[in-house]
Amino acid sequence: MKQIGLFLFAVLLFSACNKEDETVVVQYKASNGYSNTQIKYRDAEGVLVSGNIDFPGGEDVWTYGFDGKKGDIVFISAIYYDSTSSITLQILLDGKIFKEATSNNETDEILTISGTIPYYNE
Amino acid sequence: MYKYLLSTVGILWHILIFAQGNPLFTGYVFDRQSGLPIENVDVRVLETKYGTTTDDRGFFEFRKLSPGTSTFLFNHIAYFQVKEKIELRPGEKNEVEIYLSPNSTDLAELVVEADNRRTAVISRLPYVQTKIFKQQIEENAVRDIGGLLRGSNNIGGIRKGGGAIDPVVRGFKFSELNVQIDNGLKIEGGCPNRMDPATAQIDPLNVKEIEVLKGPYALRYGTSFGGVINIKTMEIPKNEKFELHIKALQGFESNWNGNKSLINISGGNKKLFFSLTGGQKKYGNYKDGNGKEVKSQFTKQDFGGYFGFKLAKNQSLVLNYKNASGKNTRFPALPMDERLEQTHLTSLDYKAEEIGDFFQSIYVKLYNSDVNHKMDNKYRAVSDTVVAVSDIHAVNRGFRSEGVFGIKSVEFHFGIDFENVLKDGERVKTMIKQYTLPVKTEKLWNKGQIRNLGFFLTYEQNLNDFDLSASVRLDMNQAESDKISVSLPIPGDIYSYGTDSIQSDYTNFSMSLGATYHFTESFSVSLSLGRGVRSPDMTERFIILLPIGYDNFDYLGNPQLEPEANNQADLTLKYKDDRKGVFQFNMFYSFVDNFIIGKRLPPNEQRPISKGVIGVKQFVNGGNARFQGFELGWFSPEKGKPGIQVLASYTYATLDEVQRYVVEAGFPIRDETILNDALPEIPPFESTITVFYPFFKGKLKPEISVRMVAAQNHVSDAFYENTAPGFTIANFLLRYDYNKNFMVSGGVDNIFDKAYYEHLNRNVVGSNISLYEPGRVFYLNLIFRIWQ
Repeated sequence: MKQIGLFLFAVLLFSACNKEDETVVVQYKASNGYSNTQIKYRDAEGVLVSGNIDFPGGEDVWTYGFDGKKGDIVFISAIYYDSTSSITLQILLDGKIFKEATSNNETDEILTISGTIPYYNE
Repeated sequence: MYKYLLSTVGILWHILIFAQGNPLFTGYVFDRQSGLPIENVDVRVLETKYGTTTDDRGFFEFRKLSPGTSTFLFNHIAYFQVKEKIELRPGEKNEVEIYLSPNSTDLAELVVEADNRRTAVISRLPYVQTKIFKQQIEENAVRDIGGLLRGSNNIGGIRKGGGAIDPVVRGFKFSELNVQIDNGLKIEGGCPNRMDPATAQIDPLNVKEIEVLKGPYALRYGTSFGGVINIKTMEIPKNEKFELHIKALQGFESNWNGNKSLINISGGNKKLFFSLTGGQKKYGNYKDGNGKEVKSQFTKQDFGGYFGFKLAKNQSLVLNYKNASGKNTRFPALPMDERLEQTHLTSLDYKAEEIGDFFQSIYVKLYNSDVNHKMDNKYRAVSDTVVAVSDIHAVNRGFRSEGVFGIKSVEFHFGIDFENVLKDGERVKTMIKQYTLPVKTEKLWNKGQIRNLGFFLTYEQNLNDFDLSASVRLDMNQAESDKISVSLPIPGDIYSYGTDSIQSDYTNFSMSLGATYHFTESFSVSLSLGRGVRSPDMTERFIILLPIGYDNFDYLGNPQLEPEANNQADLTLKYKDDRKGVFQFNMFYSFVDNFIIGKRLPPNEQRPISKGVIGVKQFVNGGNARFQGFELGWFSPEKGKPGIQVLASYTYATLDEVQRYVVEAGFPIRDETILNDALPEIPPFESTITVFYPFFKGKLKPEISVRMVAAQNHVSDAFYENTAPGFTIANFLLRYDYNKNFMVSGGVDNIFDKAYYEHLNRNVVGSNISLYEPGRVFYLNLIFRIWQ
C-alpha cells in the first residue's frame, strides 16, 4: 500500500504539467483618419490583404481581429494621400497594445507597424 | 549500399544457425547484513579467463563453462572476498546464492560510488577511457549530457544557451568526436549552429552509463578522430523470474526555477523484457553571479521505451524507440533561438553471445534517427526588420555489425558499419517593415547526402606482462548535394560546374596500435599510436552562407575538401596501491594534417547574406594543427576515509599557419599570415578536488568539490578570440538513501555565487561579452523506486 502511495505521488508529480495555451487574440486598429486610407494587413492565414478605409464616409475606427498563435507575424501598414490627414495604427494582443504608431500630414510615407507575437511572458 | 546490409545480416544469420548453447550457471549475490542485492560484484572463474559482474539485482550468469568443479571468486571492494568451489553438472540448471560480508560497515554503501569513480580514473585500455554512471547523473543538478561531461577530466563544453552544451574533448569538437547512442546509433543534428548536437537528444536521466574513449584508437565504433562518446541507455535484465520495477524522479532547482521529472516502468525477465520511460524538463532564465538574467529558458519532453526478447538461450532482439522534443529554447549566443525540435530515434539490436569457444559473439544494430529542427530570430534586434525562420530536416540511418572470435588469450573484433546522412533545409525571411511584406526563401542545405561504409578489425591479446592491441579501419565515403546557389547579392550557382563539382568520394584508412607493460601488479605503462581519418561533415561540405563559427562570418561549405587526419600518441602511467590509492597520468600529442578551417573569400567572389556579419569564409584544408596536453587523476585508497579524488588536465593547441583578417570599420581590408597561432576554443588548465565522507553505513554522504580553472591567455589571434580569466568555484552535495525505495539528494552549485564564464562559452550575440555561467543554484532530487 505504501509503495502504491509512493507511486501515485510520483505519477502526480510527473503529470503536474499542463499544456500551455498558444492562442493569442490579435486585433488591428486604425483610427484618427480624415481621408481615404489604403491599408495592408496580414490576416489569420498569413495572407497580405489590401483594403481601403473610408474615414470621410463616417468610419471612425477600423478594426480586424483573429486568433493568432505565439510566434505569428503581425503586420499592418497604411498610406493616405490628403496632406491634412493623419492615421493611428495599433496592434493589440489579448486586448493590450503591442505596437502603435501615428502619422500626421505625411502623405509620402507609409506607416507600418509589425512584429511577432511573443513566445515568452517577460 | 543496402546490399551490404543484406549480405551482412545474411552471413551473420547463417553463422547463428550453427550456434550452440553451453551449460548454464546463474546466481545472486547478497549483502549478509542487510539481505539486499549487491551490484557490480566481480565474479571470476579462476580456471578460465571468464568473468562477469552482477547487475542491480545482484544477478550474474555464465553460459560457456564446462561441466565439473570450478573455483569462483566473488570480489567487491566493500566486502570480504569469497572463494567458492562449485560443481557444475551437465544438463542441469546450476543456481547459487552468495552472501558477502561488508569489510567496513561504514563503507558498505559508499563503495559503489567509490568504485565508479575509480573506474573513471583508471581503465584497462592502453589509452584514456572515462566513464560516467547513472548515480552521478541522478544525484546532481544535471540538465544535459554536454553539461554533465564538462565535469570530467579534459572535457569542456561550448555553451550557447541554457542547455545543449557541445562537448569538447582535449580540444576536439563537433564532427571530430564520434558521438553515438547504445553502441552505434548516430544522430545528425538539424541546426547548423549546433543547438541540437547528438548529446542534446538524450535525456540524461535515461542514461545508464557514458563512456568516453579519447584519441583515434577505438576504431570499432566508426570513424574515430578525437574520440568516441558512447551514451548507453539500455539495460538488459538477467533475472530468471519476472520482475517489475518502477522508478520516478523529481528534481527542482532554484535560480532557473527549473524542474525535471522522469518515470520509468521496466520489467520482465531474461526471456522477455521491456522498459517505458517518460520525462520532462522545464527551466526558466537563470541569473549569473552578478545577478544579471541570462535568457536561457528551455522546455523538453521525452518518451520512449524498448522491448526485447530472447530468440534462443544466447540470442536476443531489442526494439528501441525514443522521442525527444524541445520548444522555445533560447540561445543568447546564437543568431537564432530554437523554436521546435522533434527527434525520433529507432533501433533494432540483435545479439548472440557465447556461441562457441572460437566464435564467441555477434552483434547487429540497425538504426534510424530523424531530426526536425525549427529556429527563428524573433528575439533578436534584427527581427524588427527581417523575421527569419529556418526549418531543417536531418536523417541518419545505417547499421553496425560486429563479430568476436578468439583463441586462448587473443580476441578479435571485426565488422562493418554503414551510415547514410541526409540533410535539407531552408530559411524563410519576411521583411516586415516593407509595405508589401515581401518573403524570400533561401536554401541552407539542398538535399545534401553523405554515405559512409566502414570495415574494421581489432586485435587484443593479454600476455603475462604485456597487453597488446591493434585496430585497422577502412572507410569509403561518398557525398553529393543538389545545386548550391544563392539569390543575393550575386545571383547564381556558387559552384559553376554544377552538381558534378558537389560530389566527392574518399577512401580513408585508419589504424591504431597499443601496448601496456605491467612492471608490477600495481604499476603499468601504456603507449598508444593511432591515425584516425575523417571525411568532412555535412556542414563543412554543403552549408550555404550562415554564421556558424566562433567568428562573425557567413560560412560556405566546400564539397572538394579533403579528409583530415589525426596522428596521435598517448603515453599513460597507471599505479594502483591499497595504501596509496589509484593514480593515472597521461600525456598526449596529436598532429593533424589537412586541418579543416574557414578561409575568407574576397568580397568580389562572395558577399555575405546574413545581417551583421563582416564577410564570408569557406571551409578549406588549412595545413597542420597540433594538440598536446596531459591528464592526471588520483583517487584515495578504497578503505580510507574521507574519500578524495583529484583531477587535473591541460591542452595546448596551435595551427602552424593561418590567415588573419585585418578589420577596419567593421570590414576586413587585408590578410596577414600568423605562424603558430593558438587554435580557438581550447579549454585552459583546470583541476578539481572532490572530498566525500560516508556516515550511517554510507546512507548519508556529504561531498564537497572545488574546481579551479586557470585563465586562458593562449588564444587565437586569427579569430580575434578573447582571453578568459581564471576562476574557482565550490559545490556541495548531500545524498541520503533512506531505504531501497527512496533516495534524496540536494546541494548547492556555485556556493559563493561567483560571477564567471568558461573560456569555451560563446559571446552574447552583438557583443564581445561571454555568456556567464549560472550563479548559485540550490537543488533537490527525489527518487522513488519500487520493486515487485
